[in-house]
Amino acid sequence: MLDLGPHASFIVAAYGVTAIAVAALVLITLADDRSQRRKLAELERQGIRRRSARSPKTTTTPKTTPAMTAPPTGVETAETTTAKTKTAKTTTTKITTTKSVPKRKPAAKRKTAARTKSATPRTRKPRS
Amino acid sequence: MIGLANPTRFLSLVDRVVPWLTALTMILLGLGLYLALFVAPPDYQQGETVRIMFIHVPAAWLAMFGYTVIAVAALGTLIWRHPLADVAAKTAAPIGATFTFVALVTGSLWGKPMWGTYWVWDARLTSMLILLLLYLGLIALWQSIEEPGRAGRTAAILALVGAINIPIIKFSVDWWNTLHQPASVFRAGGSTIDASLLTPLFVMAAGFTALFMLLHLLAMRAEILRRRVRALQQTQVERATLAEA
Amino acid sequence: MSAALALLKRDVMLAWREGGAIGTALGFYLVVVAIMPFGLGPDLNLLARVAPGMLWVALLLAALLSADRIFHNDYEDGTLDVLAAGPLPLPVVAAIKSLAHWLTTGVPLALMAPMLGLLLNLPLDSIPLLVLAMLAGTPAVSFVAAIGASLTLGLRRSGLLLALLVLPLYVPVLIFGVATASAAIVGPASPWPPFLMLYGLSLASIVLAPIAAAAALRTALR
Repeated sequence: MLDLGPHASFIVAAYGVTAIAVAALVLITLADDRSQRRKLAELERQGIRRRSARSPKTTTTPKTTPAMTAPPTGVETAETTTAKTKTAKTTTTKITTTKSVPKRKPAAKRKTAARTKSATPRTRKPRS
Repeated sequence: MIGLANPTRFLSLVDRVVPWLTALTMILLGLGLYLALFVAPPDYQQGETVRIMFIHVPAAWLAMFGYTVIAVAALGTLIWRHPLADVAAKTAAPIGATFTFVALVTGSLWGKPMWGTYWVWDARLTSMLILLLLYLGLIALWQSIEEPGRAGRTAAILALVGAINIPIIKFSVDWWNTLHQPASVFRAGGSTIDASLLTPLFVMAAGFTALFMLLHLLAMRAEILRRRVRALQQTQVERATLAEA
Repeated sequence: MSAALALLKRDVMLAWREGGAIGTALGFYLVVVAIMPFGLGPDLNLLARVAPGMLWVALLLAALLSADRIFHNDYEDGTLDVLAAGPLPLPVVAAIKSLAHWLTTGVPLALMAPMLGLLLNLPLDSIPLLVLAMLAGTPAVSFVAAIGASLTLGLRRSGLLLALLVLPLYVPVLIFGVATASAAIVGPASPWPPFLMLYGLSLASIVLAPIAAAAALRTALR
């Protein structure tokens, strides 16, 4: 068995404190992650989406809240299109020429799936 | 780095990397613990307590590594305006602070059997303590400023000011220490560490580094999501006020 | 140059007229040093031994607590925006304001130290060195305090936060300041090596700190 000598309590204490600190760090990080995902899902369910993901809903319209009637979102999509292409150009100038859409895994996140559907007709560049 | 500037791209990268990194971390830490506790021989001078060194020294290295990450991220925020740099800096601070705390506590527990006191103001431990204070200052500053943009830039300036000061502080603490001639001159593991002790040390250090990177990526993901939630909640409030109007 | 001098003159005059800020800092210094013996015991030998350190620490705290006003008043009434858009580069503005703080807070504190040293049984022959060390070190104190003030501009609890951020950065100043002052009592044989380090720290702070402070001001003013 493990003989830790006369100062065993110090060694155990040292390893113990480290284990507790690391465990706390891991748990807090994971809990935070889950909490944010939960909040995002909640907001998603209420129909509030990020601008980039909103546009496919107007074309496919599975479940929409009253706020997402065609005219206002129509305007928004026009604006978001120009915004998208502009920001797409500024943020992704270097990378998109070499590593572009084919490498992305659309299944990874709901939003990317929604976006790749909408991206093809308008722009081929990945967005933030 | 530029390729990772896109948060969504970054998040998909994180999702892919995390499982592998988790496995790597567990393997390294498991192996390191086994080597540290069962394989490494007791030191002729310190006996079994040398096993604390296998945590204390890697934790100290990671504490400094963490601050380096923050300093580089600070440069990223201020000079290159990389979009994810401030996320990297904000999330690295608590992790680095925890490692610093672990280094201090294990150093103290290592010291008691060796020197007879829980704390001694030698150069190494004192520098660790000041590093902890610098971390705490950064965390406090992040917490005090609500707007993430200003918080990121302000914390970046503080991080760089601290980074520039660290060598000065280290030098002055060393000078101060030799001036006051502490009762026992402490060298971690001795000036020459035997090879049989080096392997567990490096494996533990590698394991801690993998753990740091894993926690850092997870925390960055959570932070990116938090900012999206915040933006969406603002939209929610806007919608609600418009609907009422 | 005249713009810089005008700003300096304005800040110094404002500080003097306000009176309360300087007086409070000096009063704080007095109170802290006066209550030390109640915590340490009246043993004069002990007090003499710790006097240089205590005087320095109390000076740092007094300077930090008054550091808030370096930029705060001008931030509140919009003068800082005017200065930022004015002819002087922002680092120069920060440097002038730090200099004003030194002249109106650092120097008075340093000059008051000998009197408080008597309370702590500071040996008389170490007083000149103490004052010299403080005069050489307080520029670093003021200029680094300005960094803290610019980082915490307009925040809640900015006073405490400022102290938390800046005190670790003061460790070198403290170490070399006390070593210089206590050379006559205990410590290194010659006070001049630590004195030169202290002086060097001050010079470096005067040059570098305003750059950081200006960057933080720009961030806060955006």
